[in-house]
Amino acid sequence: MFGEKKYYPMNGFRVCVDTAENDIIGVAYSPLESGSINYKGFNDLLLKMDSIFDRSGYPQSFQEKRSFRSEKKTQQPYKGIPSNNQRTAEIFDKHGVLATFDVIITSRRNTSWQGKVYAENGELAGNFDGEIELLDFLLSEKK
Amino acid sequence: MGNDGKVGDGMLTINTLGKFQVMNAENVMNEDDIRSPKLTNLLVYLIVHRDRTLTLDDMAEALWQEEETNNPSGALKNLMYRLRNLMKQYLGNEEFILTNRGSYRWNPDVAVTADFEEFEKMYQQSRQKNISDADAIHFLEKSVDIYQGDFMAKIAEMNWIITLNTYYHSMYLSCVKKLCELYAKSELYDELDYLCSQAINCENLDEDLYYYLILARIKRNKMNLAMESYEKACRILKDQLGIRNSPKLCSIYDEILKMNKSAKADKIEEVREDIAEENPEGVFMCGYPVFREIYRLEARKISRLGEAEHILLLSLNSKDDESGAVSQADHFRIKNAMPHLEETLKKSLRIGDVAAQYSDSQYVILLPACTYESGMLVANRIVSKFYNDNKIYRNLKIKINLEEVEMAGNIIS
Repeated sequence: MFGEKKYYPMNGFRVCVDTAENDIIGVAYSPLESGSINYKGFNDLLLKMDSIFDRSGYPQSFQEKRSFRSEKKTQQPYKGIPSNNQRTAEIFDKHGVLATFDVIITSRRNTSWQGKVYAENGELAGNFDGEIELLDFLLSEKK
Repeated sequence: MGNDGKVGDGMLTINTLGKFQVMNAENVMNEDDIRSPKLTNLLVYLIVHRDRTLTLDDMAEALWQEEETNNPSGALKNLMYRLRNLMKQYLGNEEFILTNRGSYRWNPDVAVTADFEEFEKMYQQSRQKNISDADAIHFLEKSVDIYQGDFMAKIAEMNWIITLNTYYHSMYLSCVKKLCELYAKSELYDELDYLCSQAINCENLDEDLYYYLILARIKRNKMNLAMESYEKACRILKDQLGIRNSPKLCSIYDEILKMNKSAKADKIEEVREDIAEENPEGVFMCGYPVFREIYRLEARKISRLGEAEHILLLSLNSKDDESGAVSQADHFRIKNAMPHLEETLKKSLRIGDVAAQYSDSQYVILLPACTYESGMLVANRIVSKFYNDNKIYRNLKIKINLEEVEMAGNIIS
């Protein structure tokens, strides 16, 4: 997926799954964020990655976040070239105990995600439209 | 008819298609010399009907509308006297008009060549069975050369003139279209371009003429001219006839989009100079077909660039009518308000936004790098500014529709 000279796309992140008893738990890595992103469950992963995308202004969400509380806006305007905070090689070196996936977000329509999931060997596992479809992929691969 | 009778001392040539003139070998008499539309009308009527005797009733009907004169017989005698004197003054002493107990006729001994008859004769010859394309082109070119304008256009008020005016106009269009077809078939694109340009001066509401004009310019690789002609055609047909997205013009537009430059560029600077726009400011206003192409490109781009983009439709409507039915008065107000809405768009939108008129009452706008909420802010800002700047249109409603930019397969209706 990433060509011979491997380049990790800015709208992608690597999901390393370490345990999967009731929910998936592990670490994720994104070029938009330096260091690791620890997640405890699929919902946690979604919220953390969504927040990173909002802060980076990439990929841009089609809707702004709504809240009943008056919170400071964290969503940045669209940034065509977001800052790269992690080297590609470092991301490719990471692997989960149970499974590893690469998720590419092509758009964030309908306050959701659309994109592609790749297996660790670089083969396309499929396209998804919405978090439920993404979860289905992650769970099916994990089995 | 054509040439008839004997050629006397002064054979007359009469031109009625375009500028009116009567000529013999030595002299010319035109509308300015006659200085009376009624006299011109009488002369042309006599010549057009020179194969028969004309009664007082025939002529009165041709010369005066109902109740225009109480004494047609006296008025006709007076006109005839003036006409004879004029012709004598300009065209010689020949007896051009014969009188016989309350009737008149053109003197059959005075030969006449009339342009409208020559025109029709050439057109009929081009329609002969089994005629070759070259011969048909020859006759049609002659017809088109003869047709210098509409039949007696300056005095086309009387019914008999209007009828002939329409008859020859429609024959001219058939003639031009047939010639266009043959030029296109023979790949004579310079001739096709010239013919259509001339014909559009005479008839600017014919879609086929624009089609062939644009085709000629495409084939001559005149990309800018082709595009200008296309935009002009769309504007005229929309404004005058309410025709929008005509299939014929859409098909030729697709051909324009496929065009490339004929000359090879030596340096990339040449290419850039040709493409680059000078001092671009604000929103990019364009025609709907261009907008459609940009939308398609943007829909592709955003899936790669991680950008949110929305399409906004602003519809002007009558404030009190929820059903969507618009009265004539509202329709008129909306038509007048549209240019003002365009002005507001130019003032309110940013560089990089794209806008086009979608219909008689709607504008469509692309808002790149814009969330739904920002899009709604933009839309409301446009609406407020429009009402603020144009208080007389506050009785019109602007409906806002905002949707995500997407490729066709993804659109959920």
